[in-house]
Amino acid sequence: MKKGFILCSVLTLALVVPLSNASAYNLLTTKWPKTVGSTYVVKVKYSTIISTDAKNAFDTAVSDWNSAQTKISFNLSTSNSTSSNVVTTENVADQSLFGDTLLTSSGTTISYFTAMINVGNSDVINKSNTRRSAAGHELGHALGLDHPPAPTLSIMNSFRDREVVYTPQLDDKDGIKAQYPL
Amino acid sequence: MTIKNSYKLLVIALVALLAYFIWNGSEGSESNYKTNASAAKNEAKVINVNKSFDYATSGDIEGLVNYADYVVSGHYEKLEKQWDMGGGYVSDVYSFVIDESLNGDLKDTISVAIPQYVTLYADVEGQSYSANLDLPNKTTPTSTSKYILFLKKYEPANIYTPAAVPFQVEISSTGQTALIYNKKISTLKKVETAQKTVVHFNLDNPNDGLVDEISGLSEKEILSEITNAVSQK
Repeated sequence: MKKGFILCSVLTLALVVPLSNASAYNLLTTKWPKTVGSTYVVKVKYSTIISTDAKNAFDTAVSDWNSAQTKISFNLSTSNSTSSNVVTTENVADQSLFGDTLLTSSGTTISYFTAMINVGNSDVINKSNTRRSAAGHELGHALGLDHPPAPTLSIMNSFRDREVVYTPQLDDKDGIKAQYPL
Repeated sequence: MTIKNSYKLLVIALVALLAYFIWNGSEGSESNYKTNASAAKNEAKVINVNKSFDYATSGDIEGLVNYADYVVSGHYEKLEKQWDMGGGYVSDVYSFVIDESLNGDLKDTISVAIPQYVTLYADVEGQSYSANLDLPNKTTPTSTSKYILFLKKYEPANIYTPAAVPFQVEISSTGQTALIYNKKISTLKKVETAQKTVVHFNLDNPNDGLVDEISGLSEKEILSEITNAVSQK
């Protein structure tokens, strides 16, 4: 009887503890039309104005996302000249802005995106990890991820230290799994 | 309660929990989705244009001090001009009279940009459509209040911009303090094209999850926290 009691307690705890550590990611209302079973590939091109540093940041961020999960991958290449998906830079004087992403969608399906890092921000210009973090954050939006609550360890977190958090974290990977469950 | 009764209760709880998980599993992780029912209903006729930001964000003194190169207290004097900050971002530039420099070496009067709106564009059916949407730092300062600002300098224009969202603490004439920012950013703007297609322009709110740990503190407490944060920077 005692053994059964202990077993039941352990099982109950095993179910309750993960519940309290539930993922904090938030999802955008829009996503790519991924089909069951295969990796969905998003073709992306560089804008004509992109700098070498920004190009390298997006190359690295694409590699970060592609190695973090298998649901959806970016194909960023100069050969994708007909793609409407673009990575680029913007020059905005606001020093609190690291980048932004413009997503165009029909209904809940993403049609195309433009992901930008802000080269008007001195930290984006001078700090390579910050640049990579900003590029990774914008590509996360392009995948359909929104900002999670403040304490979450996530590249999608606006409160993150961009010199420390510059690759997709566990919560980001969970967000991708939730956005593309099949 | 006997061990036997406790055991029975635990079994019931376990079964209830399993039923809960099975039930939720069959419905997917809908709680994490922000659904847009109207968009789905009008799928063929609606185009969504959504901008998401990566802003430096903090709701506490330490975070704001870490983002800022300059922290000053003082008051706004007058509106100098509207400023195109690039990328469709537009701000109001005010002259700001410094009473005290809390970090950095600023003095006298500086120009401070308060971002107001961003213009979003969409090319639909061969036409270009646009909408202006209010930014998260959009505020209108009052001449009767004192402010503590967390700033960085945009060197090419010699203008100081926000170091974060938010970047202003307002201290009213009665001594009340508040971290101020635009709390109504999620303003959807709809534009209808000649072909009756509806374009939804929307901004993703970067202030979701902001915990304001500053409003309501006394001015003395805020200044003390700033001094501590600056010394640890």
